[in-house]
This record gives sequence, structure tokens and C-alpha cells, in this order.
Amino acid sequence: MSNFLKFIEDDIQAKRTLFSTMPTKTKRDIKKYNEKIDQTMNIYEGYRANVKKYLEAKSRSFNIKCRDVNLEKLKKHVSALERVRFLLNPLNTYFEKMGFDNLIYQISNYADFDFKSLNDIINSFLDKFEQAGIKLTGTDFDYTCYVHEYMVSFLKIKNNKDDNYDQLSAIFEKIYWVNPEIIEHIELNFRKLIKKYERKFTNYIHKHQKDTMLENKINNYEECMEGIKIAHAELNKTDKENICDIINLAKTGVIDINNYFEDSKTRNSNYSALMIDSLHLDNKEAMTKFYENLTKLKTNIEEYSNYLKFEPLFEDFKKEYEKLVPAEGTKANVNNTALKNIESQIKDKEAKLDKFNKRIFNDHDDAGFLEYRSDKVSKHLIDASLKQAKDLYDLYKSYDQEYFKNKVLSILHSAFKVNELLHLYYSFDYFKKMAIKKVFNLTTYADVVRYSDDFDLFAMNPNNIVINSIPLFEEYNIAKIIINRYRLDNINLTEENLNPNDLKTVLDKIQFLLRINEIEKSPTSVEKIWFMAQVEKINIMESKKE
Amino acid sequence: MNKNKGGIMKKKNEKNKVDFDLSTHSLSELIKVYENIVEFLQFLEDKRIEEEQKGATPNE
Repeated sequence: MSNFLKFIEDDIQAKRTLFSTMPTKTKRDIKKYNEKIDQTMNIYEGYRANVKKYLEAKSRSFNIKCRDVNLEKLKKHVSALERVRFLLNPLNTYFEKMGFDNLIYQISNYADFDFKSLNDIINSFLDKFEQAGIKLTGTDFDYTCYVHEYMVSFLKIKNNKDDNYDQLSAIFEKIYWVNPEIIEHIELNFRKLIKKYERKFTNYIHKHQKDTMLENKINNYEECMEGIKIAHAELNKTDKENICDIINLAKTGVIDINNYFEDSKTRNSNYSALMIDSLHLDNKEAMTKFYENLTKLKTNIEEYSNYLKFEPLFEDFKKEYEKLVPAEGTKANVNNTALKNIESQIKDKEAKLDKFNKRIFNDHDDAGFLEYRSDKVSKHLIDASLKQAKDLYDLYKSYDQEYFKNKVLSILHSAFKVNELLHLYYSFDYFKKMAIKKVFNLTTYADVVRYSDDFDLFAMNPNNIVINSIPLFEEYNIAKIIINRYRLDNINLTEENLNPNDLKTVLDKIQFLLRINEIEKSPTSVEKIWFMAQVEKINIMESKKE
Repeated sequence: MNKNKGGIMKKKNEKNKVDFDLSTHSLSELIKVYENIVEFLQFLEDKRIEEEQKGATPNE
């Protein structure tokens, strides 16, 4: 009895010969010829439909249903703990925990935004005050008469909830031509108010910390960090590529499953590329260890890749602070004098500005709004107040630099590690974004945010191991450290493999071998996955035809 | 695999009776069977002659 494939091959060959020899000279010949064609097509359409049905059923029988784990729940748990970590971070203050540093960054870089975004930033400031139970009114915005004029109009629209900012745009334009620094002065007004309500914000954060700790059953920062490590490990285990993902990748054509067959050149070259002494692939114990090491190596290379991405940021920091690194065994000299000095200058100048403003504004009207004088004196006073505000803006910028410098000095030591710098920038969003913008020469806010988000993910990653022991101010060959660690375990890595441009290649090879391991551990085989991918391809082609 | 659900194809001929059981095929053979059929269907489609356009000689 011949099998169907053999029959089909023979039958097709015979029919091809038949059609090439059939006469087609006359209309009648053609009619007969076409009738034979149609008849054969009918038979073969029947074969096609039946074989397809069979292929689909067979493919379905190979499908694997992966355990339906609640990934979302695990992700939520991790982000809840990250929130606790953010709130309990011992390095920063209420200012950063309220997210004011992020908003100050945005408003300081207003040139990167449009008018609508500017109003969104102002709204975000107001919302944060409201969160802490502070309802700001027009009288709170008295930094300059122009800030007052703009913010009174802004609040009127916000409170009416009509979201019609067209009218505001006209007011802004009018002010802008006489006072181009209006946005800087709005920023200063917010800074002054944040300082004024420091106690309220601190209390709000304390309450928020307590509530979040209670909600997540966390007692302190250290406990939170431990919890994050465990939660991350669980999430990574669940989220890592499994056999269902591999089947899907093959079906969608993202991976070429042909390369995964035992006799594939790609498969064999990947094994030999990553092994120093070739192991017998049937040696289960040795292979299990090999795959375990590959999994760890993959994590280390991903960490190294992140390190390389942000290396220019580390170099910039080194250049800035190398000269301030204390001698071994001593602490850096944190001197608050400069900061206090700037603070007192700000206080004096703001008091002076307040005096100018009091003379500019007549009095509060019945609605609580200020009205400013229209006599000849006011023009001179307004100019003087704007000059004062301009000086204050420069002072606040100096204050920022000194504030961050003090923070750096408070934690700087001779063996300062890369992970400590990551934590520092993670804790101070404003300074991180400023540094990122400068170092990577970024021009758009979206790019800064993208780099900043990537940086935070890197800084928060509890899988970081290599950078935890790398002193920032010393020369270290991280690639060499990784290579030496894995060569001891028979994994063949060279410095060329860890060149920044070749990292993806080596990661792809590792991922390839880990996929083979995943397939071997599963109830399926490369051949079955190949078959499912072929059937999927057939289905796609057929649906395109339809 | 339930062979009765499309698993067995029967071809009757005047002289021989052949059972074509797809379940005896390897996975690559199954795909080959399908590809051969589709390719042949395309061949037939291409070979079909448009009766009116063809400048054939008139019937006797």
C-alpha cells in the first residue's frame, strides 16, 4: 500500500504529462482539456481541504497551554513596593518625594514645551498642593505683578472648570512682551510657596509613608528593599520566556525555528562559540550547570549593557567630584555655610521684593485678589521688582547646585561605588535629568524622559551585581571581570564579545541556547514547533487569498 | 488524533482500492503533501485555457 505523499507525487507527475500531451488545437479540444483541468482541480481542492483540516487538528494537538499565572498581580506587587521604596528613600526629602523636583525641571526647561504643556505643569503644581490640603488662591501668587495677573486669570479658568485657555494665551502674550521672564518668575513663586508650606508637605509625606507601609505590610526601608528583591525574583521567574512564548515566536516568524534543529549549523556554531571545552550534550548534569550559568551571564551582560549606556554620565560625575573625594577612611567635608549663605540672600531679597510688591499693589479687593496701582510710581517699582526677581532666579540656581553638592558630599567616600551613584541620581530627579540632558546632548523633553526612565529602571534593578562592587573613581575593566568569572565555568567569552557593538550578538546567542534548553525541558520538540509554525504560515497565506 | 476526522482519505479506483492514511506520515511529509497539492492547483490554474480568447480553429 503506497502512502498518500507517494500517491500525490506520482499522480501529479502523471497528470502533468497528461496535460502536456492533450490536444488543444480546436475549440472542442480546448473544451475537453478545460473540463479535465476542472475535474482534476475539484479532486485536488478536496484533497487540499481535507489535508488542511488534518494539519490544523494535528497542530492543535501539539499546542501547549501554559500555566495561567497572574503576571499583572505580580507586577502590581512590585510597583507597590517600588512606591514604598520611593517614599521611604532616606537620601531625599519631601521636595523630591512630592515630585516637585520633576516639576521644577519641567518649568525650568519651558522652552522645550508648548503653551498647553506649560499650563499642565502649573496645574500639576497646584494639584500637589491640593493633595497636601493646601488650596492656593490668587493672593498666594504675588512674586511679581505679572505673575499675579497671569495666575489670577489661570485660577479663574481652573476654578470655573471651563478648560478654555485661549483667553489665557492672549494674557500670556501681552505679559510676555513686557516681561519675558514670566515663566521663571512663576517657578520662583512656586518655590517660595513650597518652602512656606514645608511643614504641611512633610506631615503629608509622613502620613503617606505610614499608610503605604501599613498597606504593604512593610516596617522600614531595609525590609522594603528585601521585599523588592524577592518580588522581583518571582516576577522575573514568571515573566521569563517560556515554551508558549517560543512557540509563538516561531509561529509569528520572529525566530526561524529551522535553526533550532539538531543538525542546524547555527545551533552547533552557537554551542561551540560559547563553550571552551565542548560538552557532550547528553551529559545532563554538565548541561544543566551550563544553562544555569548562561542565565546568570545573560543578566550580567544586560547589566553591563546598561552600564555602558550610562557610562558618559558616570564620567561626567567623576570629572565634577573627583577632587572632592575624601581620603581613605575619612568622610567628605560637608560645609553648609555656602548653602546657608545663599538661603539668607534669598530670604533678604524676597523680603525686599515683597516690599516693592506691597507698594505696587493697592490692597486686596473683596474677592481676595490683589490689584496693582496705576500711578506713575508703579512703573519704576515694577522695573525694580523685576530686577530683584531676576537676581533671585540666579540665586535659586546657585542654591540648587550647592544643595546637590552637599547631598553628594554627605555620601561621598573614597570607595564610592557605581550603584551608589545610581541611587543618588535616582533620588534626585531634577539633577539626574539636568545631567542627562547635558551629557547626552539631548534637545527634546521626550528624549530626556526616555533616558531618565531607562536610568531609573537600571538604578532600581535588584539583579545588578557587577556594578555593586565597582569603585567609581578607580579604573576597572568590567568586561574582563565578567569574562574571567564565566571562563571558570567553561563559558567562552572574549573581550571582543563584550564590545558595546557586539553585546546584542552575544545576548542573541545566549538566548538561542536558553531556548533550546526550554524546548528540551518541555513536552514538545523542535520538529513539532516547526510543524505548528508551518501550519500557521499556511493559514495566514490562505486568509490572505480569501 | 482522531483518524476518522479527516485523518483517512480514501481513493477508489476501478482496479485498486487504496487507503491513504495521513497518520502514517511524518510531520515534514504532511507539509510536503499540502505544498505539492497547492503547487499543483496553481499549475492547473495557470494551465487553464481561456476558451474565447484562444484563436482555435473552428470545429468540423
